[in-house]
Amino acid sequence: MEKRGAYFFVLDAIIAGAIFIITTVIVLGSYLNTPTTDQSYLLAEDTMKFMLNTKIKDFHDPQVLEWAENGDINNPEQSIFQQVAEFYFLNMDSHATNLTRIIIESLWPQQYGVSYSIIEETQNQTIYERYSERIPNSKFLQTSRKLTFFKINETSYFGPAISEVRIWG
Amino acid sequence: MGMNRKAILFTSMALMISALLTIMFGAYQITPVDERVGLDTLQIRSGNQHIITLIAYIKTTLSTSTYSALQGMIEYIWINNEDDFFFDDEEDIKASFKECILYATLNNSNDPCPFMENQTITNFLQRLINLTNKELSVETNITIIDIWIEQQNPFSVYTYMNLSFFVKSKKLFWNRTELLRVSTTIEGLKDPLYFKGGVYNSTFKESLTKIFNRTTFEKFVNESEYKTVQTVNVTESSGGDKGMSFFARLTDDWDGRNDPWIRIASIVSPQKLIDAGFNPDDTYNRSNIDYLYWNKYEFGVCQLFYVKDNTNQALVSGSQLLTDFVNLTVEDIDSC
Repeated sequence: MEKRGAYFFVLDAIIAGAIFIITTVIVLGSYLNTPTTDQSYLLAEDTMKFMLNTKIKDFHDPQVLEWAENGDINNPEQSIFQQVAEFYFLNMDSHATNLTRIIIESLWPQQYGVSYSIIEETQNQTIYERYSERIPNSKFLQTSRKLTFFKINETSYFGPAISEVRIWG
Repeated sequence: MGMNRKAILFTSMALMISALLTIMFGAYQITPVDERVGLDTLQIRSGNQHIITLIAYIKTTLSTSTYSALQGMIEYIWINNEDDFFFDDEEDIKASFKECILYATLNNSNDPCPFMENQTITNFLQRLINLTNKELSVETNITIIDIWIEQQNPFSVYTYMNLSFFVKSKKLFWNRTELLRVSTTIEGLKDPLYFKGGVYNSTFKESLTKIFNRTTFEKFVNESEYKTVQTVNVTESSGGDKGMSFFARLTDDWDGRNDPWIRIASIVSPQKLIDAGFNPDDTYNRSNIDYLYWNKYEFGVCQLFYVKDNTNQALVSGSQLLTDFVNLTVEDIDSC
């Protein structure tokens, strides 16, 4: 009689242990629904904000210093955003691409794809892009766009155009 | 029997707790309200920044369009130079400016305003509207209520534009009326007063010299610079010797409203007169101060002076030399 009681208690403990283990496995193995939308929107906006608010003179890079010494950059007080637009307007495409590449590679690790484009009234120009082949398989794709213009002289200005940052991963 | 009931009870409890844990972690995770609010706040900030950029763009284009309109008005004076055309008065300047900057026409739409094709403020704003509607999915409407020009500084003008704009995106909209003011330099524009001489042109260029001596005076003349002019009595003429502001030069009216702090003058270079085909000896009793020279104001014999040892030999009244070109002394000047 007592052996039967002990038998049931042991069996009960084994069943309880099995339930606990199975539950733990299910909980730890389940997919956590992390909200990625907000985070990636923040990052696209942050990239744009960084380019808008950082002056060229505050971004220390050997290539940028070389351009400043060559006279390719003649206004170190303007933002990176404006400098890229100026390079683009002056048809210094390689400078625009290289400056954008330097900025993006300093901000973004390699698992993210990034592109920077300038959209005018009649044409779109991709200034820099990497890993565009990953877009179809990416889990998110976010865009940040800003109105772009700058004054050239008293009678002409560049713009209006749209500068666009896209990030995917 | 009692033990079986306990066993059943405990087993049931264990199953219930397991099921509860599974439901808690396996169910769809609802985003808490706080996180959503953060995203909306970010979008609103981004939208506000867009409005700030929009206004900055409008100001830039207003300045660009203003300069082009002034260029066009001055060119219009030149085109009609044979008819001795100048604008009537300040009201005419304002009305003509408004017509030119909005519609690229002058003289009540009878004539085109030169240089204003695709340079009107209307055109610039329309390009902005088209682009933002298409690329930013933002509906933008801008209406110009009024636009006018004033001169309060000697080498620049203020353009005022009263406008209303309506901007609407998916979740946000702005409906505002703004009065914008931009300052536009007149440097680089041709001086219409010099059209009276025909071929000898001059463009506005502010002198950076504060204190003149023989050397800087010579540079001032040779480089056709301009400076503000103090009130100086030269002779008993009705106009006196007041200098002429930019607006006064558009109307060729040295008696008109001519606030002292905006009066400017340049010195007509004798060498440039010769290069333009003038014989300086024909005007020996005329001051080389530009508004006196081009309005053919003559002085008595030996009432004009020149700065010694200067190659340009520009003639100016003695009091003007000492008042408007500070630091030149009596020993620096000579007459006849």
